[in-house]
Amino acid sequence: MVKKTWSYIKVSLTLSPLWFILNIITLIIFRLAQLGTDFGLKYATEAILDAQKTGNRNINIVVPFVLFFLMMTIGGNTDNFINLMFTLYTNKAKRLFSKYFMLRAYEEKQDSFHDNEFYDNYEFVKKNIDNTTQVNNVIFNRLFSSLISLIISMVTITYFSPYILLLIIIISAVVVIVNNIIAKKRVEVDQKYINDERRAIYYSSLLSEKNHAKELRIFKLKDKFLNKWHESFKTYSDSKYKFEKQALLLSNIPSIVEKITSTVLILYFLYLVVKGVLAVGDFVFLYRMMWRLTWSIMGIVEILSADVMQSFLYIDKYDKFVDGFDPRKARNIKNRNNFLASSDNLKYGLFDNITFENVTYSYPSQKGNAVENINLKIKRGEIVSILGYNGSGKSTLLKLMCGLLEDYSGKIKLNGKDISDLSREDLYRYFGIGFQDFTKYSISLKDNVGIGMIEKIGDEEEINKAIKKGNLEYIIDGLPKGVDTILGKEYDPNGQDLSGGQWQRVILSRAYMGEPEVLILDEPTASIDPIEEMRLLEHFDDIIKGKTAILISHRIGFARLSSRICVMDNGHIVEDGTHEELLALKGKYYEIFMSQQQLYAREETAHEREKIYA
Amino acid sequence: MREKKSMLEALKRSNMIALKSNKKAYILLMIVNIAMCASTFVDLAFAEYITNSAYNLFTGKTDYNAVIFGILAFTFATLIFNSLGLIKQMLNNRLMLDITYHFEGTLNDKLGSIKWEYYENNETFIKIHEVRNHSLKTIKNMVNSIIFYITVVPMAAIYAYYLSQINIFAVIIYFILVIIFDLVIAGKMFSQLGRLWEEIQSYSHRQKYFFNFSGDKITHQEYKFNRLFNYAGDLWEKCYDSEHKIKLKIFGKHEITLQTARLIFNLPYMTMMIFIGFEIVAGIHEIGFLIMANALFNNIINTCLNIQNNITNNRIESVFIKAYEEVMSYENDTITSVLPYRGNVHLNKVTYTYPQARVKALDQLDLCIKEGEKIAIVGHNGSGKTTCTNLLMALTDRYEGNITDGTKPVNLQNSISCILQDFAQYQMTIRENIEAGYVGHEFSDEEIMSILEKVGLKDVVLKLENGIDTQLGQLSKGIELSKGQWQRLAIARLLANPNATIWILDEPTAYLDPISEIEIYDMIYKISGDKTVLFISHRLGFAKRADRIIVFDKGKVAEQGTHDELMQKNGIYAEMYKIQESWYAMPSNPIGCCSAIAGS
Repeated sequence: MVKKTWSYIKVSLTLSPLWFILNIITLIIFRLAQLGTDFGLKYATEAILDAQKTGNRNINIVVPFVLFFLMMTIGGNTDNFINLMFTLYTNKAKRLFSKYFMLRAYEEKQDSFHDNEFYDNYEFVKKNIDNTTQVNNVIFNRLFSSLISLIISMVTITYFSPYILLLIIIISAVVVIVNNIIAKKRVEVDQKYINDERRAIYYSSLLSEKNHAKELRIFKLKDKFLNKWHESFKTYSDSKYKFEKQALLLSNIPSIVEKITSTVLILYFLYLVVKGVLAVGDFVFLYRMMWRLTWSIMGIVEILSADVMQSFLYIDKYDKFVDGFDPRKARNIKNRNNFLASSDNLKYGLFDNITFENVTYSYPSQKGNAVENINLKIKRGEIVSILGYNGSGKSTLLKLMCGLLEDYSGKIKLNGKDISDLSREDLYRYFGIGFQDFTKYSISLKDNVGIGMIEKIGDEEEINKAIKKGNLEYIIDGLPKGVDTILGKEYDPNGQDLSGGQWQRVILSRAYMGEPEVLILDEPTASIDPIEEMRLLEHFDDIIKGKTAILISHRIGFARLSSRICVMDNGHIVEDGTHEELLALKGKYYEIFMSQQQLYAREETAHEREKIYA
Repeated sequence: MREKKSMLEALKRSNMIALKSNKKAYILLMIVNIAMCASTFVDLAFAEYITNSAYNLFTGKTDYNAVIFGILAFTFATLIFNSLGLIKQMLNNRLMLDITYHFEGTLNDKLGSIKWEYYENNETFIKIHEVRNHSLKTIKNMVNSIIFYITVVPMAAIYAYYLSQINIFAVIIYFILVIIFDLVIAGKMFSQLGRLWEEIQSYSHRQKYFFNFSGDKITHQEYKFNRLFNYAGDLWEKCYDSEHKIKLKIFGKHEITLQTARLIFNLPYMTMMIFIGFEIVAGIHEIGFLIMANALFNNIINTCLNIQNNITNNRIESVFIKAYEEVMSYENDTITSVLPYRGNVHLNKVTYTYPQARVKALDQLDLCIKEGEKIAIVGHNGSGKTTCTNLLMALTDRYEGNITDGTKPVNLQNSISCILQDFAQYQMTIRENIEAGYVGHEFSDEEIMSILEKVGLKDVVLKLENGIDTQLGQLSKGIELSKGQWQRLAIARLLANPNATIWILDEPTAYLDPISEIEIYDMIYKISGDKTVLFISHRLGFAKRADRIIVFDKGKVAEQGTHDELMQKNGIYAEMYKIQESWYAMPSNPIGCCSAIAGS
């Protein structure tokens, strides 16, 4: 673990060697300056006592003070300068770690994100990315600094008496033991009560967050949640307080030990003075050295027993997430920019067909198969509707098809070739997807559309085509900066919020972007009224232009847009055929269709029917 | 001047809160802190004593045993102060914990009681967010500041005691220099820095946003699929680099400020030391005085710097206390204890606009809802359907027009049970999720089970190990329900209160399959009896059964009537209905179907 931490610190070293060395030199200079003040005071004391003896009041008294003053100006209150140095030499490393994190998060297959352990780790590292670089470097600085101080004071003290070393060891041992006990107990306590803490935070959010506000008031739940908050908070804080009390009492032991040993030391030094071995000036010097020694020991031990553990935690988690930090790979991220290849280079040629052969998939951390024994072939030009309700596996099917999920059994082939032989990016370029749980990015409207085929994000013509297909023009007219308006108020207070329906159009444009070979729309009109829904899918065949489309929904209405319908239930494709074929089957599709139809067709008059099918 | 006033106000307020949360601990903490000032005195005296003893031992003026005794006495005193320090820390922990408990309890209570509209208003919403994130820390800092400011008084007395032993003129000059340099000049420099730090906020915010592009479980899929790494990475790097540049600028300025200040601080200090040196040579003081003086001046400088620091921080942070005061002064909902209302509900010329919206959500709405009617409400997104139900549910009273029983205004607060479009999924037990619909009532297991049966969840629950006491969601490591199951549970919540006279269902079957959807609607129609029921839905097949269909458009009622009446009218409803119906028309012409409808 220490080796690993050191390798992380080394990254800062290799990236900014100059600043790093400067940092070290600064630390050394500061410590030496402190030593200088001690000398200054010693000389001043001696000069004054001399002058007292001889009665000579002259410049000799002032000189040591000037030395003292100089040393103090250099070595006093150095925190800000150290911070400055620190920022300078860790900047590149922090940048690298962060970018590498983003890269690894990008490369990681989607399957891992459904694994709870991986996901918790990911969220932890993401939240603490600053600490990954900083904590270990801060510790390194403080440790190094304290070490220098320790060495200096030890050398000067033992110059006068080697027995001091023994006492130093005793103090350190006691401090180490006590701190370890406290640290271990603290982890225990935190673990035990973390659930109560989380619960208290959850109930707080129920009372104070926007999305719970309505129901809180309608159902008058305030008092109930408040009580629950009281309970959890009390449990958590009472035990935390009890522990902190214990910790305080324990941590008092080393400071008592330290006080006693320093008293013994002082008496010993005074004894040396009596013996004539030590002059007054030397005594003053030693006295200060002794304080420096104790402070540096306490400091080092504290860092080693508490802070280092934290740092190990951050590094361990980061390292686990990125699968072992590879500095070479991390630094070569720059070269990957030329991966923005032209999307006209479809690796397996134009889309002809995609086949599922006996594909089964189950999510990590979940029981049972999400999809089972899928056998499906979709050919160019087909408009396929996948019908199924929540839990039927339709979204899983989509993710398997486009390559987001990779840990499946069975084979998926594109144009006859196994898709696992394709790089992910090459595979993704075949598809344009409108996700059900789409992301609203706080970037310009133009970019929100353009990222649908990022290779063409600079192509104004393509973006305009997509905008037209998604009927976005009237939205754009209402925006202050047109297509360049930032959507959403994440960091720009001038950003514009769009309504749910408007976002749905943006997402459609995103899917249409770049005229992908295969278009997949997952619940594209989830909460939209029928007229709007109609408008969104108007001229759908023009939009598709002979390419392939897959519509996923639980709404049977979509089935009518398609030439072929697959019904999914419980992870299986239970029916597959045209609308007529499935009706003839008198199976699931028939059941659903007929029940819906009866709902609408009840009391239908002949007059109305004629009007529609004129 | 105004800044100073608000800072003092903030200090006062924070400490009132602290006092209220644990009076005993607060007062004791004050006392202990003041008592601890004596330890500074002991430390200074010890420094003087020890150096003088060394000198006296060296010159033979005193004997070793006396010195031993003296040192042991000092050590004993130090150990006492040690224990006092322990008590101080324990009291501090206790107080901080109690402040947190008191603050969060009060805040949570307030936030749960204020009018709903504060959450819809962007300004107040941001303010609430600020208070939740920053005010507590500020209060704690301010309490510590006040404790510090108070201890400055005895400290100043101790300093004065020692300083008075030096030539009085020297001391006066020293103080003048200290005031000019430490308090005036350095003070200005510090507050400048505070402002610079605020600048950096917006840059860190942007940088964090783009760093988080890789998102959570859900948003990651698009990050990966859309191959956004280079795009997001480049944007992030730009922000990161700008942030870094500004940080350096701040550090640079800060460093120059600090070093200049240091130099300036040290001049009076040095002058005094040299002066004392000469006084010692002249025999006015002993050598120990020099060592003590060194510690004394260091202490004085540190105290001054601390005062500066505290004042600057207090000034910057007082804005969070102000925000807290504002939030605490928000209006609360008026809770009534009227009985559930039975009768007709009339909306007369009701007009409502959401905070900061440019367009009216409801525009002179006129509507009459008869008791016991089953009404379907349809319309485009943004036509005012949800807003209308918000007003019925008495979430706000900031509208024009009135809601009456025909003559007098009527409050429907205790009459309504509902299921919202984005219904709550409480991470508690199944039972508690249902009980939330009828607060105050003790549900028996049978009652819960019967409700579950009505919504079709009974079988699922019976299969669970803990039955209705099964925890849901990540919080207590419970099980995960599917979206459809959650929706049924939310409907169960609506059914929980038998006394509700009005039911409002907003897209209650969005996540359910068509057959379950039919079951649910059948159940609602059957059970609702003489209750008034309002459905909001895009699925018009169920609207047919309603006693009346109301079509909203641009905040008004555009059409209303029975299904047949509206089909006759051939307006908005008819158009919507025909489109939906066409999906299920028997003669099939799948692809051309759209264009056919679009054309008609």
